[in-house]
Amino acid sequence: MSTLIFLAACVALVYTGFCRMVRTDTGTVLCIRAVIWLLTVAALVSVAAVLVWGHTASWPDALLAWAMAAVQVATSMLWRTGVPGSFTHGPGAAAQLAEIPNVPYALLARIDGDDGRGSAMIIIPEGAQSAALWVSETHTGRRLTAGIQLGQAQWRAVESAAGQAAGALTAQAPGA
Amino acid sequence: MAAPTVPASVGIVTLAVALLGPMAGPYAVIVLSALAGALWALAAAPTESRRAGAWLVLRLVLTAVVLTGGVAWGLESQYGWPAHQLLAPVAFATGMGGDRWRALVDVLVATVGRRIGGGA
Repeated sequence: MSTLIFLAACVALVYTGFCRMVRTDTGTVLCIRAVIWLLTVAALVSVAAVLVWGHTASWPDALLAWAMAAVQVATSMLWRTGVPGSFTHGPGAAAQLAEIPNVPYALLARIDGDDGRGSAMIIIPEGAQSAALWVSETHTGRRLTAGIQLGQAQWRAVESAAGQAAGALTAQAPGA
Repeated sequence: MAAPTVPASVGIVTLAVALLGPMAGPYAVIVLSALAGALWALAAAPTESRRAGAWLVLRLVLTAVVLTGGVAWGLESQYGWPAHQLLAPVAFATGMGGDRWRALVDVLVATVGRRIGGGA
């Protein structure tokens, strides 16, 4: 029985480790990538040990494996929007908002800091009638859907500031 | 009297030996080592979804299954290193190579193409 429980925990560890490795890339701190890989491979070897070599797990083995799987599942909430900012190189969770093609205004903002917090600078050319945001990760160059990398709360704050700035510009525009 | 029970591992090992014969052991080593290497490549690759990640791992493991035996026996014949000891490191390195294999294959194809085309 304890072997079956151990096996189930190891399968959970392999799956959660795989899901994290899908999200990591070279922008992720090396030792974080290494320990996730190590945990996943250790779980994989444990699965093979039970299925191929007939290893019999004891209760402490099963308990430890389940505890690790529980930690993986509990901390998965930090990975829902991608690699946590503290685990990335450079300004973690740094996001740069740049202009959108085919839209007659530019909107720039930058969020610095390991946890994604920081100041946002928004520049809207004179005459802009509305605001829209485009996010791209600065350290990998990958384009992300707006709001994912920043987190919903931070995103709403930036969006709100952009809306206010756009509204102010619209009000100041000649003939408004 | 309690009925005799057979551990699941015995069934899996029996099935693998029935399918692959004496090569079951070396193939198990190759697959496990290639998985470890492929997971490292996955951790470094910008992957868009779990499906893309699984496809990358599968691709690398299959590449290792195809290439490892030949490379190991080639090294044995060339340098005298025992092939059965090279299976794990060669499979791991193959998996760890990740998508760099594509660039290598492109270079090989281009080289062969130039040779066939008379170096033009």
